[in-house]
Amino acid sequence: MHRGLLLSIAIVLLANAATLALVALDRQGEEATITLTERELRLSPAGLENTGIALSLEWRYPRTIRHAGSWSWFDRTRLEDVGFDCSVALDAPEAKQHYRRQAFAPRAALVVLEYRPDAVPDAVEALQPFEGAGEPRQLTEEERRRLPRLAAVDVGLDAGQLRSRYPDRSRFVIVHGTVQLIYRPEEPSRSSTAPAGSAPAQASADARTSPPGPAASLPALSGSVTMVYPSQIYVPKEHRAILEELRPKEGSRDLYWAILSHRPRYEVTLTWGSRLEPRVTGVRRLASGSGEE
Amino acid sequence: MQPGDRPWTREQAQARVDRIRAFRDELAELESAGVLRLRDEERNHLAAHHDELLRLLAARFDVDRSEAEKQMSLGMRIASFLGALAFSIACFLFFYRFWGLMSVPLQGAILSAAPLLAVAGVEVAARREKTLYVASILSLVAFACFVLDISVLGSIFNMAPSAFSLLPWGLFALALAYGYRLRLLLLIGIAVSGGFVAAILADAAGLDWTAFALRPEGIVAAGLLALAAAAWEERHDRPAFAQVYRLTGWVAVLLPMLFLCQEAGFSYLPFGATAVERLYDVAAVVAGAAALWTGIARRRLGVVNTATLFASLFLFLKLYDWLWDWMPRYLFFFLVGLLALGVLALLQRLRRRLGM
Repeated sequence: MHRGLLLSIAIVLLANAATLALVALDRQGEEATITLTERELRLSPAGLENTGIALSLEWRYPRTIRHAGSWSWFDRTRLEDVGFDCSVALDAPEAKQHYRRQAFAPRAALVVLEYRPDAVPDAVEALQPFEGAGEPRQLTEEERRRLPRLAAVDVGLDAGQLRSRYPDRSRFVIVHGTVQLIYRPEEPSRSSTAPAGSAPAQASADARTSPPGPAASLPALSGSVTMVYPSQIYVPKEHRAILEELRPKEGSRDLYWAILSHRPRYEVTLTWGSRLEPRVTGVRRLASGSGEE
Repeated sequence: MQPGDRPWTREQAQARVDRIRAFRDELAELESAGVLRLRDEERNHLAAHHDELLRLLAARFDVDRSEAEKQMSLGMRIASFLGALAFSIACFLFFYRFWGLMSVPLQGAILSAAPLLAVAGVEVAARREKTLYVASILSLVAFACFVLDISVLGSIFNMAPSAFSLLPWGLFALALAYGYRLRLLLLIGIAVSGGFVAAILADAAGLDWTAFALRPEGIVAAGLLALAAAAWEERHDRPAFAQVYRLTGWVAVLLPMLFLCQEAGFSYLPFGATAVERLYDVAAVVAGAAALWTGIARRRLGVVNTATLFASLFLFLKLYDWLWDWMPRYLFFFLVGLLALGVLALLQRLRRRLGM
């Protein structure tokens, strides 16, 4: 038999075997089991070209929408925990160059997501990616109803340490993700627009590693979670019946808003294994208006 | 020399055919100019020898014996590449169209069987066809099926993307390339394996491995490995593969330097930004000069062209850095034009000296 043929067959078989071995290893342990609703796990639209069902994992920052720049807990200590070098003082002449280089590439980290069905913010900051969080505003009732209640609350590199900090496995899950350093050489003063003590204003203030003085243009350093893995969760055939019925048709008008406007119609139980890989272990239809607020 | 004397490759056979054609053309010119006149017996003996050699080479390697055949071969290569691309897309779409209706074990079985079937198809095609056009199409389909296999298994089991998935893909492409002498698969194998080297370095540095292109020093490392492989292939008398390694190697070494000398943010090096950028200025000049010198000295046109393009881009970037802000635009572009003439004059001198 041809050597190239044998070698390529061996590579295919070995790679498949290694993948399945990693899956088996993941299923040896149970990292966390959490039941989420349609708010946190959104259905992909049905289409002829792709018959698979995947749920998109939606998460947010606890007190602001995640795209906004401020992360109150993601301070210098956490940045150092995930491997960024924050040894240079923010007002040092070389600080801009030092931090700008690190902001260039995201780092791999473990992200703690907290599921708190009762925790819905009253206000969020306006969306201004990487420019600061903007003016705070009250959420509408509809926004309150559709915001995911899964939030990034911590980051680190050691799963064991993070788990000892967040021992409740039905509320906190540790996932793979990426984090980025955000350095703002000049933080524009927002004291005139944000009411003192309001949640977003506080979040913005917390984001600075130096305490905000009267001149609110001190350089600021914070981090952000840019991605969690996997962002899509595949639903195997044995769990797809309910979701198949509820799945919106591809190309239907206002698909996205149609999904968001109604109350959660289903809940899905996810179990994360020892390698932090989730799998669907249950799907349940929720009664209409079942008090899922 | 006869085709059976040693294990020739198709490229070597084609080179011999090209030499015979050139020899015949030149002989005809010399005879018509009266410079040389062979006796009929000699001419017939020579023609018979070449005809027999061409027949043997054509039978064994399916070489192009005329310019028209060469052009047809190029068209066939383009058609086979487009065919392979279309078949690969068809495999992806076919699977996604039906995968939701299958159980996970069935999905896994189909995914792992697809590349194996395609590889079997490559083997059958390679045995039946000397030109390897069909084998080349099927090998690309096999590669696409293997990528689909591992990436969809990762999706089914909700695995985080891993740099290590690049390793089997690269090895698989290289196994097919070496097994069936397929240069396109070699190029894919080098690119994916190079990506693996860069991704592993990014991962080891704690970065998100998918952003390995933002730290292109890993690509330089992969390029140096490709150049080492080119030297190895050269020693083992595989000039066609050596050429692919050499060109991809030099591109991988030189291209990142253009970014690294402009922006220290791309670098792993823990020094100040200015020090890093100046260091890569020097590295770019040294690497560019080395590429140009080896290309000219060893008569490798591809390397010379790569190095010349790199040197021109590098000089343009440096001129932009130094002059753009304070010099009138017309003067800047005039200077760039003068520089191009300077490069041309330098290359002409080198060419004359080395008798290229």
